[in-house]
Amino acid sequence: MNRDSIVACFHGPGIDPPSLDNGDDVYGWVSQSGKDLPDRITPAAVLVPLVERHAGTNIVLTQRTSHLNSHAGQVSFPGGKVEKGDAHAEDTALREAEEEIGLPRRQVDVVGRLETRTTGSGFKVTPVVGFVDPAAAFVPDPGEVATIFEVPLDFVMDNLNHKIEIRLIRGVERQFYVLPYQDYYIWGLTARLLVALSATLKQK
Amino acid sequence: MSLANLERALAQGKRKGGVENRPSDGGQMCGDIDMRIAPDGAWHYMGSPIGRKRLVKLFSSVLEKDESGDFWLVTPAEMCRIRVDDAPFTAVEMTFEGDGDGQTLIFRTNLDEIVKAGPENRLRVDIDAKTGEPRPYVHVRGGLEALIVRAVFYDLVEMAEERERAGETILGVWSGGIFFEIGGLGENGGVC
Repeated sequence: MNRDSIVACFHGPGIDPPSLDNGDDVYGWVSQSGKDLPDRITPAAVLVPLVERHAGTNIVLTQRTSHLNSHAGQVSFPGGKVEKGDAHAEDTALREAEEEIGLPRRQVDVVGRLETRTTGSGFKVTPVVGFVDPAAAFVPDPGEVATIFEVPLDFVMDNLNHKIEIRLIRGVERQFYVLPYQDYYIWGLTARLLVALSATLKQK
Repeated sequence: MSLANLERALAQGKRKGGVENRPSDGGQMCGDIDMRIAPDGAWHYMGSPIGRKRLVKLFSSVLEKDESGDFWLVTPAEMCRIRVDDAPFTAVEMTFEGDGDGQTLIFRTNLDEIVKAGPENRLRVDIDAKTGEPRPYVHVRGGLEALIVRAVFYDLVEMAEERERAGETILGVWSGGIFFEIGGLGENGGVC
């Protein structure tokens, strides 16, 4: 997909996308009714950075610093809590990307948002999608980010790469998305957002 | 992910009926969190020990082990994988009731759970492949075990009975109607 056709799937900075009706988010957040949601919600935002390379569009991801030896850190988008002084989710996402991967905000062209997701630990996350200047140089904040890597958008758009893993806990099946890419095990919120991105881009 | 958020979510999950009342939907999946239980039973978050025992007890009350051996904190709202170096608990104290084959061994874990060894909560002793040292465990709940600390294991060995089997001397203890083997007697008389 080229940049123009990607941009056409979004509604511009600051505007929430129409709901995907959760048809493609079977494994996304359970209840919009709110019955399982934590009492207090902490607003947060992540940047879903897209970058045009010769071979195609890539998505920039980070692997978190881990204190667990022999246990690689979680793969995630740059992002964090909304702080005082952030005017909107875009502000938060760009500020966090600046802090975590050293990406200056002037090198990001925001194109829109993905649907907000709420995590069980009480974060309401607004994913902000933006194109990154291909000339941008990433500098990881060693306290938070171990590595920065890119996944081809084509990989993420291919449903065959959306694996569903099942774990059995006391006889109860737990299903969740995993996108295994090279040595990276992408799961949790990041996997859900990648699946949502893929669905959003396929709407048109 | 902040410890405070997690604590709140877990506390709330418990109020709502604990781990039984939960959807099997993957939206709960939060992936790995940087939490680890060291071999001494101490919990660490982002590399620092969690000092508050009340908080550790809260987390441990939603700890589950899946059938592939991974450990999770599971609430109706969320499941997060954590890392356990050895066993999630340690057994730090032991008392007993009765005697002979009517004896029951009662263990207290580092988090003050009380466990009676028997058919539900079996004792087992692994041998550490590297050091040859015994690694004794007692089952606590749902596949979660406590590593029996050295001093308690010595007490266990002290009260063990000897049995002959195929020319070998086996050491074991009675609890809950089961004779649990805890080792053999080596040629030098040491437990092996």
